[in-house]
Amino acid sequence: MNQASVLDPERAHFAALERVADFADARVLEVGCGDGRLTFPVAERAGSVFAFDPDADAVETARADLPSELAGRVTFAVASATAIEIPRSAFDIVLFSWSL
Amino acid sequence: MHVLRRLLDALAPEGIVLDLQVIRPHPLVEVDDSILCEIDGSSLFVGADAARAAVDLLVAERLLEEEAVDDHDVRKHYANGAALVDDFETSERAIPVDAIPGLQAMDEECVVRERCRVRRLRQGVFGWTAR
Repeated sequence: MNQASVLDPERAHFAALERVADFADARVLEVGCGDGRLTFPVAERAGSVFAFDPDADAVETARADLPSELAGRVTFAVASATAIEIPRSAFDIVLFSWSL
Repeated sequence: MHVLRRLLDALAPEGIVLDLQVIRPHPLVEVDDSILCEIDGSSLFVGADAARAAVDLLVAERLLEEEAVDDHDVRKHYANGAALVDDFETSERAIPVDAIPGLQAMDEECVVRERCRVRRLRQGVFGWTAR
């Protein structure tokens, strides 16, 4: 292992999400995206992902690490769930990543 | 208003909510698939329990309908025991004090394994007719 730690290299979280939801072409709102660890695999399947988190450093990391082939499908924002303005009825899936 | 109730407005009719949370039992530290010690995960369970209660309330109000649950293990891998101890120095969760010296001396890769749950909830009839 080159890094001191690696979270979920087996992608168990995303595998679980895929067992219960079909992300194909879905419009996804991710609440609490952090550094984008779940955002990227979701975006590989989804039509679009709007992902936000109040942690500006984590969102900056997510933006920097976003694969170029996903750039057109993912929008990141720094915001809290209690304050962000979200359009009504705009998403097929709302994903709370440990953020409730 | 709870954040979940607020963000339900973002869902299209018959859209779904996916809620990821940690669940009991407490996380385990493992080396070569053998359990070394248990980590007190109580601090995370407080928030997870509150989240579950908020979701359950919306299910009771028929704003959401629970459709599926998936429990699974998630692992965080550490290059050695010292890296694990360092990581938990800033965590709300605590490694047992008597396990720290052994971990500090451990050169092998170790893993923290914790149980998580994803719930799929679909917006109920009361959810979008009430708009």
